[in-house]
Amino acid sequence: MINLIKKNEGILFLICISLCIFLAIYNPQFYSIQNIHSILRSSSTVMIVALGMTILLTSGEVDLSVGALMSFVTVIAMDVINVTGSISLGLIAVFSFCFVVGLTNGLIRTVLSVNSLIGTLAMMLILQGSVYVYSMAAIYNTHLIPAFSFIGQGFFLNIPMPVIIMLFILPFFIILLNYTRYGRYFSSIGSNPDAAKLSGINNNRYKVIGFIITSLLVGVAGIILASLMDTGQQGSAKGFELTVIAAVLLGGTSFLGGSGTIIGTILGILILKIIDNGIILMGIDQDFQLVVPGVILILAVYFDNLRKKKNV
Amino acid sequence: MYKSKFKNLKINSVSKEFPGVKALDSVSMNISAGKVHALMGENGAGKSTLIKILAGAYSKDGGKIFFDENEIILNSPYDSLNLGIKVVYQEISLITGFTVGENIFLENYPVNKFGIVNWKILYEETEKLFSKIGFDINPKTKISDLSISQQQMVEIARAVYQNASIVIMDEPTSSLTPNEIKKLFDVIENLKNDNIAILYVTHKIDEIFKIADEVTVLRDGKHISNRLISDTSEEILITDMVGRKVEAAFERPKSIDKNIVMRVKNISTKNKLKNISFDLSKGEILGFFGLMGAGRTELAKAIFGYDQISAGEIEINKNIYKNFNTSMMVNSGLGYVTEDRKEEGIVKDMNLRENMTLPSLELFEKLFFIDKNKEQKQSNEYIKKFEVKTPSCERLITLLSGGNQQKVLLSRWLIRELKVIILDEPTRGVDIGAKTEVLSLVNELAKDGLSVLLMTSEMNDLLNLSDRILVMANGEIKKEFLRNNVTQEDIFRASVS
Repeated sequence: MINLIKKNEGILFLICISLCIFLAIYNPQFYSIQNIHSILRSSSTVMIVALGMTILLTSGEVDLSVGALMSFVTVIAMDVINVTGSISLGLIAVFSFCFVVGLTNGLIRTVLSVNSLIGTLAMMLILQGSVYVYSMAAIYNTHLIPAFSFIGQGFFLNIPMPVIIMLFILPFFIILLNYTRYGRYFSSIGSNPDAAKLSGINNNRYKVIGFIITSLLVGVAGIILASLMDTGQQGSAKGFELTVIAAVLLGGTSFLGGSGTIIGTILGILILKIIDNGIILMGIDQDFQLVVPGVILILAVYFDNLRKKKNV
Repeated sequence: MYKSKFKNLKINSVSKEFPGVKALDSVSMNISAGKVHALMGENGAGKSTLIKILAGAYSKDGGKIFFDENEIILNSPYDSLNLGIKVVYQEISLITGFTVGENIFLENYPVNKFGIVNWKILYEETEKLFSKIGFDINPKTKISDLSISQQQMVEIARAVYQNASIVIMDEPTSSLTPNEIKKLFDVIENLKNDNIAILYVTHKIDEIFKIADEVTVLRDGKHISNRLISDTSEEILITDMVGRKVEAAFERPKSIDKNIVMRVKNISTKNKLKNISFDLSKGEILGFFGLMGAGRTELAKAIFGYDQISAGEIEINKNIYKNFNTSMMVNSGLGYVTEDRKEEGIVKDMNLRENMTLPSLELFEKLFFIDKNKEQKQSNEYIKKFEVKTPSCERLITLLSGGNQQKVLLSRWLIRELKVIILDEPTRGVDIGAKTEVLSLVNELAKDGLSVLLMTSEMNDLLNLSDRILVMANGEIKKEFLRNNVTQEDIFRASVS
């Protein structure tokens, strides 16, 4: 038991439980079914993208454009489905777009050798701007296809659909990172790229793959968001990247060679989202919702450094 | 450099334990001013641990240390540095983004009363120091532009320049050419004249007989002997170190069949290599010799696909390669052991097993999943074969000693079915007992058909093991020698032409 507490996940778990107890006492609305579902839904989209971000951070890269891409995805999804009346065409449009963005991020890093912090920051700006070129106004759901609304708002066995979708994707990534050789490749590329290259690993190939996977996952998350909002909204996922990165770092994955766990990331997301929720329930100014991930990001990296020092 | 007032350092029954390993067990020795005291021992014997205790990086668990008859407690590197105990480590710890001069004066830049650095004085003083010592490096060069051997020279100058009482040198000559080793010995003589004590840690017995006054041998954490050089011999020291007699020469077949596995044709690189060509036969051990800057590592990296070649091609078993990367080379049966294990070899966040299996993960795969049991079985096989000192294969690689890490890196490639292995300083930091194991294993594999490109500055290994020796200088191959038909002098002469 002591070991569990000393471990990162143990601490996160305690923090999570404490927050829940505190908020439950402060405002019983906290544990109402609707509220819990709401928290779970917003956590799921973060988790889906966090899976890709984990791969990137482990291999020494980052993607700051995920928020901007997600907003863009909501607009594309709603627009294409409105115009064509077909969800399939909407999916094809979204994933094609995401593939191209991911590939571009990857090539900017590997071919142009621009570091990913700068490269994806630039992509974020490009996407934030060009989404208005695509459409000046928000795009409302005029197709009213029930299957589409079901994606975000529906339930399966009383569990919100976004959670189901996340649970569907999750095992694939757990296996990939922990039990296949690709997990080792990503780790070694992040920890010592020269040694990885000298072991016959094609670093650039796997970095590009990481960017593409992340962008495709953003596609999934964006479609869920569009379904929840019933709107394609240009700025809807602004700041999303902060939450994702903070959660992944909180979960233990480090810039310098990943060691984080999926449980850690899940707990990190829950903590962030519960705090978000708490801000609303306690009537605090909602602008704090952006401040919180920022502060947590600093704390998360600080604790990560402490952890690394203790191991040496 | 000034005359040190230090007299002696007494180490009394010092012990140090780590979980599962007693690294030092009641070790005692005396280090006297103005003398060179050699410290020898196999890997895992405790040399690095002792150095780190003297440097203040580790704390001892038992025993006492007396500096000029006063007991001292070294709680941090600052305490050691204050006493003038300086260490020049195997691994370079210079600031790579700074120049040579900036590194030398790192702790005390010459400043005026406003705190502004006087760069003129800084570089002049560095020039003076270097010309006194006899190193030939422009003090304004960035460290990252220097080769490992040059960096090591800067490290030594840095330790020597700031008033020292004891200078501990950990394998100082592992990257130095014979000329530079001579210069190093001259510097050591100067230090002795200034009353400074040298603790000289090395595997090279012949050097010890050239430079040391006394020698202490450690084995398995205990001190086995403290001897005067004048009173001892190579045989005795080797026996002290390994506890058993060691064979030296390697048996190679009289002639190698001309069954060509690799043809290197006219390869050049942008910066160094010029028109390199040679053939490699099955089962042949091809040695490469060259002074610093000759291009051996560049050649190794170019052949392996790490660096791009600007011209030429490589033919391996009828396949021609013009634009290739390491992935392709590994798939065609090549392996590569780097000379810089810290920066290019070990993956520090992984354990021994994961490091060992990294290039070969597809061999351990069962339907997409990695078979961890198979990994463990294989790693344990090589841990046993090379006597890697570790409690288990799950140990973090950074916790192993340098020599043991090297053994893991070698095993990394020997696990595979290789056609050609490129060895760049394969026995650097490896003790005599293990060195012989490694080299005789290479010999056996060569007899079974493995072809070897052997880059080493250990002349004895080169002469003992190679079937042919290619001498390089300035990025070109200057001369070729056949085994049994060449002397050390021949090789040196060719490398300076």
